[in-house]
Amino acid sequence: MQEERIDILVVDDEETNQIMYSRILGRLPQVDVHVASTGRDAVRKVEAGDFCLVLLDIMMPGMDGFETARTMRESLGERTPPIIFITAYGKDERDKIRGFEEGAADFLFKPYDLNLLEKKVKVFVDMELGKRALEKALEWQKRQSDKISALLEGARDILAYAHFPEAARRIFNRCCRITGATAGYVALLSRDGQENEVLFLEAGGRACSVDPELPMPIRGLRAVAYREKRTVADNDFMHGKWVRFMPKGHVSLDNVMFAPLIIDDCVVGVLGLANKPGGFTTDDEQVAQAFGELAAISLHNARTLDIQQRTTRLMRHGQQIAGLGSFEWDEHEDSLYCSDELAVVLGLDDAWGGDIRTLFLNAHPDDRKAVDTAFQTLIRDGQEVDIEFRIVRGSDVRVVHLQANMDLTRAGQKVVVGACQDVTERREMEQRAVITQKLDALGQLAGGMAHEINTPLQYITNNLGYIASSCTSLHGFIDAWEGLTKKVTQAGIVDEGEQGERISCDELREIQEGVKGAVEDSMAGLKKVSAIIQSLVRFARMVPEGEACCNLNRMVEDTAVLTENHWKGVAEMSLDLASGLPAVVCMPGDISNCLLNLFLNAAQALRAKYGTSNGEGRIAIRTWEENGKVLLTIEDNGVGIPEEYRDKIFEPFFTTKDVGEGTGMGLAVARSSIMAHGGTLDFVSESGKGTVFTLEFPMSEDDSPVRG
Amino acid sequence: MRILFVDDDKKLLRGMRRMLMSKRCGWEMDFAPGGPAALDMLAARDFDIIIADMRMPGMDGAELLGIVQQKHPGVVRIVLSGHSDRDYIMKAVRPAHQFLSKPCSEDELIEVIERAFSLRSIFTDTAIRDTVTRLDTLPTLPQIYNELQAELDKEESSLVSIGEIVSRDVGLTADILKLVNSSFFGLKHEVQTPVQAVTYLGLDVLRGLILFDGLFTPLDEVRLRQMSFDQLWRHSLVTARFAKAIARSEGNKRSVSDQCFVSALLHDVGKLVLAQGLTERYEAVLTAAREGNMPILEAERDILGVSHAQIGGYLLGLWGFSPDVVLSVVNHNMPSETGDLPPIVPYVHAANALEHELITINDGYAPHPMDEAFLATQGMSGRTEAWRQTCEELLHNGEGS
Repeated sequence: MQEERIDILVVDDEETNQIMYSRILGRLPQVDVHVASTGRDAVRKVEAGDFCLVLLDIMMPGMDGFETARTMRESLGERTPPIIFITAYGKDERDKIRGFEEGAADFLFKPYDLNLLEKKVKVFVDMELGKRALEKALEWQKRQSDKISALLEGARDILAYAHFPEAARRIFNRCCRITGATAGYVALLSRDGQENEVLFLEAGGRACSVDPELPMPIRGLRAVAYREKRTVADNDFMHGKWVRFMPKGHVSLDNVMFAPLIIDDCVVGVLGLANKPGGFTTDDEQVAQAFGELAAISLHNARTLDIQQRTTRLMRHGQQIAGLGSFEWDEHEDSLYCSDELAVVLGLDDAWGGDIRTLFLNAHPDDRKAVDTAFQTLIRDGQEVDIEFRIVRGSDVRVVHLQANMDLTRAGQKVVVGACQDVTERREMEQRAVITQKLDALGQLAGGMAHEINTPLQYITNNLGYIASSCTSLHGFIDAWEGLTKKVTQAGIVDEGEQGERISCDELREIQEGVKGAVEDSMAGLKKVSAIIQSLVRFARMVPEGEACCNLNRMVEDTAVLTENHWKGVAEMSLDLASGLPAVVCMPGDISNCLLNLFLNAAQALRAKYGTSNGEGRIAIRTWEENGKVLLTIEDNGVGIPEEYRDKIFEPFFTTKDVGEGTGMGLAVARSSIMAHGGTLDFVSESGKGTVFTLEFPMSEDDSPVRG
Repeated sequence: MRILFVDDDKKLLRGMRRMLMSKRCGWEMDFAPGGPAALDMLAARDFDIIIADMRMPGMDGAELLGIVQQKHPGVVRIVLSGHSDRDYIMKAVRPAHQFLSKPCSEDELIEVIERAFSLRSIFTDTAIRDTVTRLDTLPTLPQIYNELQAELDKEESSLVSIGEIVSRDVGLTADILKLVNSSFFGLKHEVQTPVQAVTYLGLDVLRGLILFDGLFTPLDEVRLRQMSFDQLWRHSLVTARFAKAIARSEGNKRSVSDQCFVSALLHDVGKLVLAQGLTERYEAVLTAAREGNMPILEAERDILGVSHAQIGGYLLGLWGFSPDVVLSVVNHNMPSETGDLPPIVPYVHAANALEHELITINDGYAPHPMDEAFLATQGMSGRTEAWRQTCEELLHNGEGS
C-alpha cells in the first residue's frame, strides 16, 4: 500500500524563501511541499488540492497574507486548512491579533529560527496524521460493526427461513449490500457433481440473455473456488484468462468473486458476486467467505430438516401400517414421550394427559394386573417386559403386544423404552393357520380313507341290493314250491312226515323276511357310514381361505353327523332346515369351525345340567330366510352361559377350557369373519335355562345375477 | 347299449354285475380290471359307454379316458371314483363327461346312464356323433376370456364379477356348469346359474382351473367365414335376458327364471359345436339355408340329418345338465312337434323368436316364427304381445345388449 502523504503549501513572493522552506520542510517524513508566489495562486491551489497546512507570508505585493487567508476561508469555509502566518519579528503586536482574527493557527517571525519552524510545522503534520489515523480507525470500526450486524442478520435469516432458497436470497442480498457487489447468484452443485445449478440470479440491471437452462459446468475461476475451497476474486475479469468461458449474452463482468458453500469439508455450491464499483478488496473476500459459510449452514440446516421431516413421516406411516406405537419415559423427569400411533394402539383419546400411570388405562380388566405388575417389575428390577394383553376400545377388543426395557441416558438416568403393537389380525391369522393345518391333515387322511372305504362300500351296496332283489325273486318260487308240495302231499306221493324233516315253506318265508330285514338294516348302516365319510371329507375340504358360497343346511347336517358322539345320549337333536335356503357368501372354514364349536358347547352345557342319561336335553337347529336375511339358530336347554362370561365369549383368548386345550380364538375369529361379510353372530342366554346362538347373514343382494 | 366297467378291484366289478343283473336284457355289460385291458376290449368291439374308476395302478382313470377320447371318440366317458382329492378330480374334468362318486346307488347309476344315452339315437351319421361326443370343453370368446383372466389376476378378484363375466359367455357357462354338476361337489342340480357356480367353486379353484389347468380355451374365430361368433354370442345373451324377463313377468320364482336364463344362453350351443367341430359341413348348411331361404334347422336336417338344437341337447345331456335344460334346448325352435315338455320351454322358445324378430341378426335367413299353437297347449295363448313389450322395454333400457 502507498504511504500516506501530507501536502503543505508555502506562500511567499521571495524565491530564496521558497527554496529555503522547501528544503527544510522537505526533510520531514511524508511531507510534500508545494509553493505559491502570490495570494491568488495560493487560493487557487488550496481550492484544488487537499492541504493540511498553509505557511502564509503576510507581506506580499498585491493580495497580502491577511486578504489571502480571508479569501480562502470565504471559498472553503470549514475545509480551510490551518494557516501559519509569517511576519517580521517584533512588528506590530496588532498584526498578531489581526492574524488570529483572520484564522491563524500560529505565527512565525522572521528572521527564522529554522529549528522552531521545523518543530512548529511538525506539530501540524503530526496532528494531521493523528486525525487521519483516527478517521480511519473510526471508519474501520464502523465497517466492522456493519459486517458483524450483517452477518448476525444473516444468521437470523437462517433461523427464520427453513426453506433454503429464501434464506439464500436474503443472505445474498445482505452480502451484496456489505460488499457493494451489484450482481451475482447462488448456485448448488448438481447431483452428479458436474454442474452448477443456479438457484437464482441477480443481473444488477444489466442485460443478460443467457438461457438459465444451459448447463453451467464447473470450470474457470469458479472451479478454483470449488477446488481450493476458498473465496477467489478477479477485479479485471473481462481481460483475464477466464473470460473465454463466459457464454454469449452474459452480463458483462467488471469484476467477480466466488465464495464456496462448504458442508462437511465438501464444496456443495457457490455464492457468486460481481460488478462492485472499484473492485473487490481482500476485506470483501473475507466478508464473502463468511456469508458463504452462512449460506452453507442454512443449506445444511434445510437438508437436515428435510431428512428429519422425512424420517418422522416415514416413522409415522410405518407405525400406522404396523399398528405400532412407541414410547420413552424418563423416570427422573417423569416425562413421557410417545409416538402418535401409541394412543391409537392403546385406545387413548385426547383426554389422556400423557401420563405413564394411565398409559394402560384401557387394558382389559382381567389383564390390567398382569400389565401393571410387569411394568412395576421393569422399573424396579429392570426386568424386560414382553407381554400380550387386551385393550378395550369401545366395543372392540384388540390384542396388543407390549415390549419394553430399561435403558440409561448418557447422564446415567433410567429411561423406559417400549413399543406396543396391535397384533389382533396376526393372532387371528395364526389361529386360521392352525385350523387350516388341522383341516389339511384331516383332509388328507379323510381323502385317503374315503377312497379305501368307498370302493368296498360300493360293492357291499351292490351286493346287498343283489341279495335283496334275489330274495324278492325267491318269493314266487316259495309260493310255487308250497303249491307243489301241497299237491304232491295231497296226491299222497310224499308223506307229510318225510317233508317235515326239511325246511317248511313258512320257515323259508321267515328266512326271506329275515334276510330282507338284515339287508335293510345293513343298507341303513352303510348309508350312515357313507354320510360320515362324506361329511368328514367336505368338512376338511373347507379350508378357511378365500370366500365362497356356503350351503348352511348341509354344513349343519355335516356338523351334526361329525359331532354325534358328543351329543348322543346327552341331547335330542332336532334339525328344522328350510328347504331351498339361499346360499350365503362367507369363509366356509370359519363357519364350519364356528358350528363345530357351538355344537360342542351346547352338548357340554347339556351334560353339565342333565348328566348323560336324562332324556330332557334338547339341541334345536333351525335355518330360515327372512327379510332378505338368512338366519341360523342353535338352541339348547342347558345350563346357560354364566353371567360373568357373557361379555367375554367373543373376546380373543377367552376360554373356559384348560390351558392348551382351547385357544379361545374360535368364536372371535368366526364373529369377525361373519361381520366382515355383513352378518352378525350373537346369542341370548339365561342361566339354568339355556342358550340360543343366532347367526345372521345378508342374502346376496344381487337379484339378477347378470348385468352388463 | 354296451357298457364297459373298469376298476382294479374285481370285487367291485362283480358287485356291479350283480347289481345290474336286472338290466341284463337291455344292457350288455363288460368288465375290465384295468386301463390296458379296457383299451383291448374297446379295440375288439364297439362300446357306447365306459365307466371307469379314477385311481388304478398303472394307468389311472383320467389317462384311460383321455385315450378313449382320442381313439374312440363316440364312447360316453364317465368316472366312478371313491376318491375325493380335488387334484384328482381336476385331472378328470376334461376327459370325463360326468363324474360319479362311490358309493353310487343303483338308481342313480341307471339314471345317469340312461340320460346320457337317451339322445344318442338322434344321430344318423356316426361321424357327427363321434365329433360331438369327443368334445371336452367349449371355446370362449377371446375378449371375454381376456376379461376373465384379468379379473382373476387381480389381487382382490370379485366372485360376483367373475360370475358376471362367465354368464356372458356361452362356452364358459356350459363348461363351468358341467364342472359343478359333477358329483364331486355334491351339488347336483342345486346350482343353476354361472354366478352360483362360480361362488361355490371359490376363487382358488377357479384360478387353478383357468390360469393353470387351462380348462377353458379361447375361440379360434377365423374358422368359419359365414358365421359371426360375436353375433351368435350376442344373440344367445339377449335371448337369455329375454327368457329370464319373460319368465319373471309371468310371476315365476327366481329358480325358474334362472333356469330360463341358462337354457336360453345355451340354446344355440349346437351351432357352436358344429361350427367348431364340423366346419366344412356346417358351411355347406349355412350356404344352403341362405340360398334356399329356408330355416337353418331344415337345412341342417337335410344335410346333416340332425339339428343344432338336438346336438346342443345331446351335449348338455352328456355333460349332466338337468333334463329341463336339455329339453328346452332341444325344443327351442319347434316345440309343438314334440310331446310333454318342461315348463320353461315356452319362455325359451318365445325369447328366441322375439330376439330374431326384434334384432334380426341373420338377414339372409328365414324367420323364426313364434309357435302359437304350442303356446296355446301350454295355456299361454295371447301372451305374446305382453312378452314382446317386456322385451322391447328391456332393449329400450339398454339391458338387452
